[in-house]
Amino acid sequence: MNSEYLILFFLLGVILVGGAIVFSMFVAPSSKNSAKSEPYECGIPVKSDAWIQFNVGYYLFAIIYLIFDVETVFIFPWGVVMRDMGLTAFIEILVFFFILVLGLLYAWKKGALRWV
Amino acid sequence: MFSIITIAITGVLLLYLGFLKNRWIYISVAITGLITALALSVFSWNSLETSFSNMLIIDNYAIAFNSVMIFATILIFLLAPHYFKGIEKNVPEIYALLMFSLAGACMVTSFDNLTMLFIGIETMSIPLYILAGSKKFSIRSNEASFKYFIFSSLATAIFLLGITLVYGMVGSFHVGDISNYFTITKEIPSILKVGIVLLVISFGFKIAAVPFHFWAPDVYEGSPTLITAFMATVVKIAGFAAFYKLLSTCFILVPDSWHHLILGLSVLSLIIGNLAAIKQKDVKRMLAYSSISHTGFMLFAILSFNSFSASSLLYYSFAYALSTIAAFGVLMVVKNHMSADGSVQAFEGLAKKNPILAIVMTISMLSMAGIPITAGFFAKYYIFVSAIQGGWLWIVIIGILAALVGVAYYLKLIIAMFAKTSETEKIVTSPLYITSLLVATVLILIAGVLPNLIISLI
Amino acid sequence: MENITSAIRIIPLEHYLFLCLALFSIGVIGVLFRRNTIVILMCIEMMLNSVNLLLAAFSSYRSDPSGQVFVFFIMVVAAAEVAVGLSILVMMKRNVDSIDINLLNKLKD
Repeated sequence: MNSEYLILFFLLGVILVGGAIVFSMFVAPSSKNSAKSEPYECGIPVKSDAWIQFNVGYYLFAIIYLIFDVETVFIFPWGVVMRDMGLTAFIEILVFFFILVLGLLYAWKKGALRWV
Repeated sequence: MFSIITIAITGVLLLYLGFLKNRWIYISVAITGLITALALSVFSWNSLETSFSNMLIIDNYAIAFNSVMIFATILIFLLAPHYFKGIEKNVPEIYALLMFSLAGACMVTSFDNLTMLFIGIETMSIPLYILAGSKKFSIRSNEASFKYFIFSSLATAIFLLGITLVYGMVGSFHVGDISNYFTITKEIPSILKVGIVLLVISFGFKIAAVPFHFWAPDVYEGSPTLITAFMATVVKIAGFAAFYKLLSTCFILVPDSWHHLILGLSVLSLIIGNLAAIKQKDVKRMLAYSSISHTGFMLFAILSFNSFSASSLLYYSFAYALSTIAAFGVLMVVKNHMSADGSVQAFEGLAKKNPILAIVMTISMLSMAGIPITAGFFAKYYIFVSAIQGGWLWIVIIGILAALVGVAYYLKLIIAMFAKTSETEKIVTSPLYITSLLVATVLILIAGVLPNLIISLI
Repeated sequence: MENITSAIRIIPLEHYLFLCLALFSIGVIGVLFRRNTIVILMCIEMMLNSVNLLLAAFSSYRSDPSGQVFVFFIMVVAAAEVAVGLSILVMMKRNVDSIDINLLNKLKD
């Protein structure tokens, strides 16, 4: 195709953006101090390191998610044979879902899904 | 099959009934569910039933073991209200987890496909990891829970590798196909032998046979006593029933690949279990080692496959379950009374403090030691007869010597109970608690006088 | 399905066997010798997954789907096991404020 246009586009991009940066280096006033190297220049002071530990409250969600996530793996083999088995397969997967929902309901009633 | 479903549904029901916060509702629902399951199990006697597209086969063997396990669980549940008195939090969850574990145990005895065996074992053990740690703020309970988790998972992984190697050579998980393979094939590949050895090792972990026993004393000691009673009876019986069934249905034609291993496990369990039990000061730990030595005796049934060994294993399981539950039941009360001191000294003067408990404990100890007119005597007798029929005379001699050593530490406890002490404060228990212990004791005596009731079943 | 099966069969069965046994052995050694409990959990997962891989290989070499169905069961059970294991870890961490296995020495003869 017209690869010349693509090259032109890239060249234009480099010239315009690079030119703007070089131009601002000469024109703009510059001041160097320690506040400049803060992550939030707008003024919110940094409290601690970025590698903090998460609240343990998250762990319960993670575990409930893990279980329900993996249980859905049984739907894949079911999907393969669903067409051949017909209504029986449908009823069986409903029973399966019912049991899963029972588990979720229990966790809900127990307050495991409440945000702490 | 319906008895397993009943147990599972009762478990789910218990979880939801927990929101009602009434401890008598959930104990009565639990016991009703268990009695229904027991009735369903007993009434399907002699009706060979395969369910879930040949995944489960419920024959008389499975029904007999399931009934023993459900009955043992009923006795444990009768002990529970007194044990959990004062603890209101999470009790229905503990009951529900016991139910789920029992459902797994019933699946394990009736598998007809190795997939079902795996799922049954896991359904049985995963609730137990939680139950072992159910005293949340006790570091010992945490430790027991974590050790049980690690070693049980290790055993599961070994078990899975064994199944996989067998599957790779045979090409099926079905019990019938595996036994057919051995009738057709004469030259057995060595990978298959490795697989069988791995299966035996993993079951060695599950039933706590020496040298794979090291987790058992710690876990038994650290767990709450009620859970220990469940672990030492139901889980062990289920493990044995599955082990016997696996070897007798799948690998009976290739005894060379596993016979020596079973022999080693049995002899080592007898010797080390008994010798270690003698020097224990803590009664719970002593019972743990005595349970290891009972493993050695029960392995005799697997060692000598004949028409008699299944029923002798059943009788031994029944006798062992009754006396273990009685012993742990008395231990729970004594330990509670003596402010968590479970040593042999804590039992001193029990005959004065509460004569019924002392009698229950005496009969249970005599049964474990194998003294006549208790069930334990015929249990050992039948299992020895079965071993002699299989041509294992020298093993029986070791067994008799081990039983004699065993008498020593059981007698130590009995003597302590009837010793005189200055302190004679009465120990009080609830009527339900005493009922459970008395039922167990009376059944020990009945089974000891009329052994034919059980031995002629399968 | 056919493509995957034939792709698996490009590599000889022995190679799968050796790889899986190596992974399994690394897992066993990790469980027995590592002190950090999280690493122990990961080692258990590795053992189970090496078995999964071997089952899938055997299954496609034998053209028998039941091995792959077994893999599903192992995956689900492993998830349940890890969930319980992590909960036990959190419980332990709250009580002793460490996950080093050497602290677990309260139960001894």
